[in-house]
Amino acid sequence: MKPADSPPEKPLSEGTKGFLSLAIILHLACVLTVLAANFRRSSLLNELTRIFAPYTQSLLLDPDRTSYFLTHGDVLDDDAIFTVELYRSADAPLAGQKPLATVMLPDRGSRWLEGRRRYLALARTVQMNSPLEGEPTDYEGEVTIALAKSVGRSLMEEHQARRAVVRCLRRLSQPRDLSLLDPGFPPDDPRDPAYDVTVLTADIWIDDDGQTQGARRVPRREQAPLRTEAAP
Amino acid sequence: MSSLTATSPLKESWSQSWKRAWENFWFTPADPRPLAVVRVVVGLTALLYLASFSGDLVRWFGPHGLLPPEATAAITGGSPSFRFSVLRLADSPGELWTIHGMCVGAAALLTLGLATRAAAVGTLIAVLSYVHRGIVIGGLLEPVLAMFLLYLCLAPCGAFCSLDRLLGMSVWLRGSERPNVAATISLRLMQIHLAALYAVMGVTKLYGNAWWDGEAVWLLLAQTHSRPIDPTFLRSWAYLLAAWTHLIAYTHLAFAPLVWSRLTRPIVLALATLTWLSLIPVTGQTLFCLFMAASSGIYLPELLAQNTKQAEAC
Repeated sequence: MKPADSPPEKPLSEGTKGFLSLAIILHLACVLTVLAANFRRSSLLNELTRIFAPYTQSLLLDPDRTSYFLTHGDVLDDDAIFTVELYRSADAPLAGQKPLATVMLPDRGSRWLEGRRRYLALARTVQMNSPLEGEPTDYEGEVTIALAKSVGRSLMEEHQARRAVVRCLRRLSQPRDLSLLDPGFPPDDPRDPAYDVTVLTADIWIDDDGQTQGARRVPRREQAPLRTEAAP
Repeated sequence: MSSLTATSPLKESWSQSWKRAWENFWFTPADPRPLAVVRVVVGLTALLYLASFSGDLVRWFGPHGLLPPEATAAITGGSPSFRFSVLRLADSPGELWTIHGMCVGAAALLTLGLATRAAAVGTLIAVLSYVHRGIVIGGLLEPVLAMFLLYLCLAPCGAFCSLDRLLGMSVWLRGSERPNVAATISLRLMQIHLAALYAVMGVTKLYGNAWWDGEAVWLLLAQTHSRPIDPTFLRSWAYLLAAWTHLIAYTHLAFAPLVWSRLTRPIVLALATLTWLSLIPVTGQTLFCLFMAASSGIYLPELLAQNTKQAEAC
């Protein structure tokens, strides 16, 4: 079937051109501003990004802090994953229980495809919100425990468990020049556990009301002498 | 007074030439054929992107999924958020699968060019919904894909290579096949936006030492969880890794200024395509790298038009 001929294009009036020009300029001003704020933001860019947010955020014109540089070679650019130990009982002490299963996320998907990358991105969010030194801020603490709870709860549902220990591990990358390796890091195996740094450990459990509870474990060197374990 | 009258025609001609250049750039009617090709590539990418959620749909977004609304609320930190998602309407796995099917269907219709205008809007809403719902699991692809989809919504992208054309659907649904201003504006916005994204990619690389030291490609290959291949055989090829790193960084830096010149455009487009293809085995970001390589094609109509003009002049 042949399509009907399109009507000939009418030349644009000066008023229409003026209106379109204004719309194009405003749109590009918003786009270029949010793109300029991609990596680091001055207070001015921060404010402009906030003002433009209803337009740029809703249409994803603002890539926020998407790392288009791919890597800067910082520790935070290293891969991170979750490992989750699952236990049957929420009430019995961990020492007396054998784990039902230990799951590593990502646990599926091809390294060439999107599905697996999403798990790495989730763990990376925890890594980015876990400061290398000192205590996390309130925001960082809330984000990391919220994600640990959701990861723990999801896997507990899959394995009929009531308690989980969620860990986020950063895998330090091997330098190209192996003579720069510190002692203790095996040069022939970049997957050795020596390369893994725990950035978060959290106890997650399902309480009697079916609600998910969680507590971040404080690293041993940061523990106050009389602090008690938060988890049951 | 006499000096004023002497300079005003000069000023006028300068402003008029700018106005003419602006109008030539934005309002010269363009052939919508290239946009049909863009539509097929973007539609196919959106289809693959949305379909990639199928294996883990309920695990991510279902009840007790990996990303429940409480977790995304913690991430946005209570600040005003303009992230609408149709996936938030689903309360059960069944509803989630229904919405997912509609989203994948919209992308399939866009690729085939059936009810093209509506499918373009539907696919944009679908992609935005997944990004806004999955807030922290988005990657490099999504902002570029959403940008192309947005501009396709403005364009007569179903005028050619479409079922709409084959079935003789109305012009309103498929867009006019005559050269038109909507095609020009859409293509120009894609070109400028993509060049700006390249500028961001290039400039942000300058912040870190890895791109200066020539180590960035190695550092990407050294990520044992994300790298798709084992690159240990490249360890001793320091010069190759450095050259590879510099080629990527300088190509991304040079893209935005050089893609507008007819002399440098073919070179910079070829280098950009090469760098994106070379990044696939380094990062495993197959869909993103292929899409970026293909998206260089939006500068080709310009190149073809120049060649035609040159041939006519000869």
